[in-house]
Amino acid sequence: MSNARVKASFWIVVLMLLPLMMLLSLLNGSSALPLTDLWEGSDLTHRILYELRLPRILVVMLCGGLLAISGAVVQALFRNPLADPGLIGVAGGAALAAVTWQVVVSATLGAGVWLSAGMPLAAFLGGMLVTFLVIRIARNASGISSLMLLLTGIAINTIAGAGIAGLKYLSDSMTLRQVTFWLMGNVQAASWWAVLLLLIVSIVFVPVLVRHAAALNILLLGEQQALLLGVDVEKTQRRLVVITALIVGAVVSMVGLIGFVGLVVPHLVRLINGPDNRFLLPMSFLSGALLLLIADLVARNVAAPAELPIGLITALIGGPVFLFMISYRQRERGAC
Amino acid sequence: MLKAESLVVSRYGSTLLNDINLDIKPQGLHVILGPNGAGKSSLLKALAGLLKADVGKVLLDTVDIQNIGISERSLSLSVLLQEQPLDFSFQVEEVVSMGAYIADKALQPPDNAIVDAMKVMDVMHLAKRDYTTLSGGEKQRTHLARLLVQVTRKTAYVMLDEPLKAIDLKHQITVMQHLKQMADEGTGVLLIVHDLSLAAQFADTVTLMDKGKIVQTGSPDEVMQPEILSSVFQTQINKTEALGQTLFFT
Repeated sequence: MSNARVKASFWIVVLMLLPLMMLLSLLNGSSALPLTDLWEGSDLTHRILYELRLPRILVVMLCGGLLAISGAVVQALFRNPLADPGLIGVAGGAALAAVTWQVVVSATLGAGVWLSAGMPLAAFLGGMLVTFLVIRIARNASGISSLMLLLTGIAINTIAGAGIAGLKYLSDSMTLRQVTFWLMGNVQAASWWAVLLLLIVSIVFVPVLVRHAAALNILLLGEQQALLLGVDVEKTQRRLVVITALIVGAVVSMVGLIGFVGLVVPHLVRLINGPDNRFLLPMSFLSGALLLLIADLVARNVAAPAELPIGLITALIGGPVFLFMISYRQRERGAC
Repeated sequence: MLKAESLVVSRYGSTLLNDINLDIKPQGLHVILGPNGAGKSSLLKALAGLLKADVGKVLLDTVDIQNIGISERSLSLSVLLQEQPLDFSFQVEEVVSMGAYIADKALQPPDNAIVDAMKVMDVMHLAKRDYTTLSGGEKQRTHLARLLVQVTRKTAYVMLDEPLKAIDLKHQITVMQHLKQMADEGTGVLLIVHDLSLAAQFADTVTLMDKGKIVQTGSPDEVMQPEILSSVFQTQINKTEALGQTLFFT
């Protein structure tokens, strides 16, 4: 099949599946609803559909899309297909900052509007701090080494994990429960406010990321060679680091830690249509939305009427996929 | 004219370039020779504006290279570095088209620039192949084609660090002949090679480097004398003529 046809079919399949899965997800749940309830249901069913399920579905989709596209961007920035905001510690840093906010500030001062707005901000700052730290440590003269990148990620995740455990230990039982659920990826509390915030983040930043796709392609040739080809490497890196940290911060503060979406989705898209970021970035956004929507559907149904945390599902799928990716790369290397 | 003026570059406590004065003419093929660690790549990077000078400066038509904007610099200079760390499964033609990143917007090169470049470097038959599955020489030819795409009528200089790396004999000659043709048509071509006989055959000017300094710059006949080469490369190098070509052997 030709390149253009692969791309076109990819777009069509994803764009057809998205509304289909949305509808399925909307009607499916602890109480299954008939299609007709969408327009003529009772007050209760309307509330279930439009105040519980729809905002949740939208939050899930936006988070999936945002995580996937930021994963794709981070992979290009670090010139490493194994980079992921979770693996390299960015999400961990964001989570530590957000938990600190929850336990220290919200718990002592109460959770007012201003204080709850502080959590995304804290997560953003935490994520950005870690990203710059990782770049500083893992970078050498010839770029950023995969080994150093992953090692730095392990160290930062350990520190963040210890910090979060310490904070949990210090917090009261109510906060502890909140924090624990939130960390496993919690989309149950999704509100229209969360939808609005994530929608704004998507509308503002996704086009900016996509506009940098061609420059990201060139960056894969190495930083010096990219500079010689006319890419303002430093400016591009700085801008994209801030944007991805902002996105990861926003997502983490809304739904907690949802791992592997940023790693697996871009990888799958690359498998089908190659690494060209001009296609990879927008397609990762859509596929990420689709994949997390499916994961959420699974999370709600696999142990119904109970719900599993969505982060658990993505980790269960993503972990093995990641293992497969590493061993596949390893075998490829060994062969030549 | 591209010019290095009393250039000194130190990094990590060692002096990479020591008091370099060099003119690269806007026409002709200029070869830099020297043993490993002589500072050839550092000089090329300094001339391309990648390495900042600690003392002295690099001038492109009387403007300090550090004061030329990134996109403008990429229009005036087309540079191929020695290391190409690309590790993503792009198709060969996608890699080649990356050369048009800036020129695309500024000059709109002819649509066939990419195809032409792939033909010259004999990678046309690999156009749809996954870059990461190529052999070393095929990869190098892909990057050379990418470099050719970057070259437009605004390009003043082309610089290449070991362009013949991993390339077989037939294609080495193709590459050298094409560079020579560009040089004759009015582009300054600067390259680092290790093959002395090839250098003697194609170069208009030769610069011999050792330990961060320039030993001598001049025509191949002036610079490439067995005694000078032997002492710089610390091995006995002899020279002979066969079928009208100068050959060097150890």
